Amino acid sequence: MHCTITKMLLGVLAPVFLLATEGRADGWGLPENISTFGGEIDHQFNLILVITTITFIVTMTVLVIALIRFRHKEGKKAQHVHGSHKLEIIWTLVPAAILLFLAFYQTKTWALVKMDTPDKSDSVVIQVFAKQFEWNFRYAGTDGIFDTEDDPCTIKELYVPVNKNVILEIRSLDVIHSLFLPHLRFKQDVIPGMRMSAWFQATKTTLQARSERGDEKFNYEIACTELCGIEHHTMKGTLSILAQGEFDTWLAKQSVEAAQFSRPEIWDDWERAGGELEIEPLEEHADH
Amino acid sequence: MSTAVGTAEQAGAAHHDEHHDMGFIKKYVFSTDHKIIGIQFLFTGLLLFVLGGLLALGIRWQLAWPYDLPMGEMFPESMVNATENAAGETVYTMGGEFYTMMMTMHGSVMIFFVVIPLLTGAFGNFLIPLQIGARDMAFPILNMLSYWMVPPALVIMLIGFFVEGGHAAAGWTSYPTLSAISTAYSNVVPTPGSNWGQTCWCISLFILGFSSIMGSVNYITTIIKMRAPGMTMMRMPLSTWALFITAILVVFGTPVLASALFMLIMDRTLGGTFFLPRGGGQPLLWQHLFWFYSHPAVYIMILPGMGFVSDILSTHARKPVFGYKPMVYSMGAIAGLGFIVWGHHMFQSGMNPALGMTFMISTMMIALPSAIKTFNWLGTMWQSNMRLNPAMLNAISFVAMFVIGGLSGIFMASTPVDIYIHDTYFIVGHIHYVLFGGSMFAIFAAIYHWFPKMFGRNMNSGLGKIHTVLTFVFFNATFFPMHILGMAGHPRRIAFGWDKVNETGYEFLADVQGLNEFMTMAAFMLGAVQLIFALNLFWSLFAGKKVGNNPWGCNSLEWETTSPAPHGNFGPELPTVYRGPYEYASPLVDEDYLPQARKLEKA
Repeated sequence: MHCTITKMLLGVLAPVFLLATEGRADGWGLPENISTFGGEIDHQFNLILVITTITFIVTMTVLVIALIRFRHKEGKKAQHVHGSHKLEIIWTLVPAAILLFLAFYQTKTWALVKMDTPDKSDSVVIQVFAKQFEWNFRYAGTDGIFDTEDDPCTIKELYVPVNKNVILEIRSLDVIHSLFLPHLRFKQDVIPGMRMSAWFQATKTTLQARSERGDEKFNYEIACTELCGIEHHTMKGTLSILAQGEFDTWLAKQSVEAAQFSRPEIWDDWERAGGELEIEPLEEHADH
Repeated sequence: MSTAVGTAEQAGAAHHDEHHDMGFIKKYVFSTDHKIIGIQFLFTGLLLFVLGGLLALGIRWQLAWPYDLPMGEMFPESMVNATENAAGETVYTMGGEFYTMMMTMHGSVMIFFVVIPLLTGAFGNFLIPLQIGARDMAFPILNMLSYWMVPPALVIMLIGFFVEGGHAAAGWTSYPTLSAISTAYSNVVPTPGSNWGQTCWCISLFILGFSSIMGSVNYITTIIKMRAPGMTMMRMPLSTWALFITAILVVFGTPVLASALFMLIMDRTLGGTFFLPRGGGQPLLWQHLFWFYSHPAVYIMILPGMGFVSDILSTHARKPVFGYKPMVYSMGAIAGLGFIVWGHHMFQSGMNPALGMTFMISTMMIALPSAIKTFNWLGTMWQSNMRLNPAMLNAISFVAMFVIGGLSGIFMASTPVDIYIHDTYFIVGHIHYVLFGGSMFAIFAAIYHWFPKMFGRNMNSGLGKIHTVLTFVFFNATFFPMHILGMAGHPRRIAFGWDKVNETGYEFLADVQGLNEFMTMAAFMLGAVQLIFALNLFWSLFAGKKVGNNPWGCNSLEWETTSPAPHGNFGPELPTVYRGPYEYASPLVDEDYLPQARKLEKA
């Protein structure tokens, strides 16, 4: 029912807010959601949108009526009143109740996204290394263990299976970055010196999205949302969501390749820095 | 007690009156008169408003048309990229370095050098002694120093534009490690401004902090100790109440920012590692310290505006403020809660999510006093007799825009929704609705309202109305679409979302790029409209219509004295206060106002 109200409201407001999104790629308004918890976040967003829009309309109506009705007339005197105890109590308690309800109503969704991280045993764990200005990803390879010969790495491209929990272990090698996957309603800052862990589960593959959108080149995108330097706006990437079978095939192929070639030297640097990170001055770094 | 002080002060004033010719320098430059200091802050703030505004237009241009920077040849070669197009013409683009620097300086200048000095510096100084019936501030020399801390801070901030590597480019929040490492390391690009630019930024704000603290100590002392006879705390105008509460926030908050800035300076220049993991430091520490000041600073930038608007609404609505006491208590509640909500800037920072939950609840609750104030403003306007002059129109715009700014805050307060909209344009829209829609409209209202008292002349009402209405329209056209960009996921602080000519950027933002162009056009109009205001201000300074002591029919004490008020503010005798400041439409008298200082014969 709630959704209907939202849609009606959006429908009424469309000419003003220009939120019409149906049938378009992403258009205006929230982009398509493709994660398991994203729907709940959108629900919270829409709920707040409904409450705030109603509040806005009511207050502005009062304001406009007052503007029209109580314009200055010579010789007229305004009402000599200093307030109303009853009104004060009403407009303290009613908003207080709404705000408290909102606050507690949000906690479940927050806990789901940030606190109930799924178990590693039935998830795909991927390590993320952020540096100016690229996202680097490392997978455990077919043996399922990190720090072995067959760990494939990708730069600026993240591959994940659909309908499976994905745990990202994120670290930064230099400054603060923030990993943002808009279509998954996923965002996590990454602080140098700390290991962040965050999860999501995608519900649609890139191929599905391409055929639905009729766009062969479409890709889900990765953004950085914490200012990380002058090329911050170029810190992008793509997210490829594969069917489980395809993902397994892809990972097997990558693992074989990774085992054949020695990995890029830069990864050794990161290992030495412990991944737990030191920030080395530029000069020292150049010595390696 | 206040009576005793008053008597001593009166003697002082009589003494003062004989020494009126102090010479230009002492009277207008190194003045200890709170009114002159207030006017100095006013013009400094307005001048820097121009600088901050031009930086904003630069930002807007880049976001709309990132592929073409007109007049690119005017800028230093290191700042812009020049390429040749197919026709052999040189095309300039701004690039990330220039953009990031401008964006950082727009925020820093507007917040630290425009809004805070205009609200607390200009009007705090000008209004407090006049409204409580004092001859001057408690510590006039300290007051003078608080203004004269601004020029050195400003010079150091401006020097930053010319040092090697350019100005600070880590955003106005300057999160380490980006801001803490002098050669912010990357294999590719050292961060610009990471040499002296960022250090200048830190030192400048460190000095500016002293200005705030000295001013606030003065405000608090003056309000507590120097009120005129009969002026109880609960008879003070809401402007003075707001400035009083703001001063308390400044005194508690600013030292924390100062210590954080000093730690950052040590990290940058003395090999400290407060914020660097290398030596066991913690980048999150900065965020906690910075927001412990900067969240209350948000209220420092809105509370005085709320006070001014309450006064102005009541005066021009010719009706008492609705719910005086709830207004005072809600400002107190905002100040108190303001110190326990800073964590809502850090929901996605990696801070313990359980802590995020508590901060969400305190943040939701701080919306409550703001809501109470809004309803009381509407109550003030209901059954009133409103004069729609420029001051009133700006005050009403404040109420309307503050409603939007307040309501959009609830989205960010919700931790799960914040996951998606954090660090997107949604928050940029929100802060501009509070800071421009709120603070700036309040400042415009205050200037239109108190201009006669400052200069003895009125501003042109017709020009004022045109300025106000156009500002209102273009303000909304510029900033409302930011919410829509935010919903589309447009990150803030990126040099562009989608470049349609070179087809680079984020593809998921291609659909909203048209909005960016629309907003930029509106922003340029918004900037242009301010010329009307500047023209009106300067023209009225010299040629505005002369007014008497009390052109608006106002109740509070500042209107008891001449316009402009003399040195020492009031004549040989300080006024005595008999009632609260909002006795408009009182049945006791024929006129629709009853000044605080008028003694009525008992009926």
